[in-house]
Amino acid sequence: MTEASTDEELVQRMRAGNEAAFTMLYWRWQRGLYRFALRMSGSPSIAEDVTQEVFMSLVGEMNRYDSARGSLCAYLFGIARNQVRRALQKGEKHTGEAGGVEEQQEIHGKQIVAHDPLEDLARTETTELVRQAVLTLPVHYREVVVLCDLQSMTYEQAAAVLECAVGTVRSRLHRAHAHLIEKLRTAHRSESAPKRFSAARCLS
Amino acid sequence: MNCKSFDFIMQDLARDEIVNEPVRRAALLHAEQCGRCRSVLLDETALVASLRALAETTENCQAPDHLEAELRAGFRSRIGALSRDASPGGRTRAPGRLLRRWGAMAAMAVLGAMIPLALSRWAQMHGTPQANVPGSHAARSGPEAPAAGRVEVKNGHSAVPGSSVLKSPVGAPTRPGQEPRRMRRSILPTARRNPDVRYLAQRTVRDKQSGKGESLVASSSDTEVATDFLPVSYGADSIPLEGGQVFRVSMPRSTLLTFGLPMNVDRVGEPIQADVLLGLDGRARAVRFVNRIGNR
Repeated sequence: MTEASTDEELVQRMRAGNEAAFTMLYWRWQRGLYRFALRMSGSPSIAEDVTQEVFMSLVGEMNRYDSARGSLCAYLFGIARNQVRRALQKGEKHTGEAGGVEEQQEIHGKQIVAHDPLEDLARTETTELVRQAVLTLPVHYREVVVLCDLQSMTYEQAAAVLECAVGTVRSRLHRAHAHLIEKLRTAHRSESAPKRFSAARCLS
Repeated sequence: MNCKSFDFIMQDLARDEIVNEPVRRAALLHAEQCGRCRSVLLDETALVASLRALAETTENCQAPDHLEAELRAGFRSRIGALSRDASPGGRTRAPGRLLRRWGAMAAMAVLGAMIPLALSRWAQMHGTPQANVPGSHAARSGPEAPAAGRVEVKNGHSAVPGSSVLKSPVGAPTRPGQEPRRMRRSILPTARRNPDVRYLAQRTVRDKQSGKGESLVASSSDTEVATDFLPVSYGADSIPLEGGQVFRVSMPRSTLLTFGLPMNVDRVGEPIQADVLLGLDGRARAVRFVNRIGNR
């Protein structure tokens, strides 16, 4: 068993009780699944739960995956998608809540390399605006944005995960981008608008 | 290129995914000439760049380390449980929150088994007719057959391994020392073909031998004739059965042919009753056809 083993081979070995095969599958897919759930929900705790649920399903129902019906990628992301939707519906953690923001700041704090503080600040602000805009999209638009734009999946791969036609993915992405552009424009306008309290504070 | 065809490929253009170079050049040329399309392309390109920047911020995120250890422990216990299920013997308790779901399923199964018992006791104490008790003898052999193709829940016993799916409903009349008239073949030949049904059959036989549960034969109405439980397969893979419920349903008589059983052509319009064993995933795992002797 090597890194080059296909998903199908690893699943077969896993079904036979090979723990190394399961571990390899875990390391092959956990990052993508975790990021997908994180980007969809904005919450690391939901992302962790979703990742766990996906692999629990894989282990609990080993014979359910049928390679003839689609790739393991589509299968796992399909489970993750359902889990995320369930978590969002449950409202366990609202995406825009303070806790989520703190968690996100923690994540971003690790990622940003401080070259030019002002440039980094501006970049961080823009990224944060985009992140918030993505999180406020309706779920079916958010899914295509996360899969195609943030996970760098092709339209075909995204269509397999979402179990819809490629044309549907394209049109949803088109509309999602239109929504995002509109949201970002509005956010920029509100940011650039003069604020009374700032002026009052300057005068004081 | 016009604005409509530009709109169609604009997304790919902004993502730099157009493979066809002449098309890309034509689109860019159109964007130079058309102010509206140029503005749309600029917005789209900026958005794609922002999204890529956002993707980069979470590029190194991954599941926490402890998750791997938990899942591996869960995998080991799952494999252990499967191998124990294959051979006679009970399950041991697996650690970790990973198995919470399986524990919940078992608890639901126990509850499912307890509710008919409680209802039956209550009915006996208060003299309620047994037809009102789910899974009772009277309910199972009611005179009104449901309409063909319509599924009606007649018996909702829980059926996880460890509970007795095929046992009689509590409260069903049994006649100790008297051989019932019901003609019934053993389910064991079927069980040999399907490990899940085999498990249930072994369990039922064990219960029978230990006197814990009522006998399989005495479990049903004396006026009924039933086939074996015929396994329903889904391709080459055998899906493990962790639990389920048996439902009494009414089916078109022609369903018999689907299972390779003979059908009386004169009665083709009459529905036939069947007990369907549904797994927890909602799939039918086994079916047995039931006929009342009085109807034959």
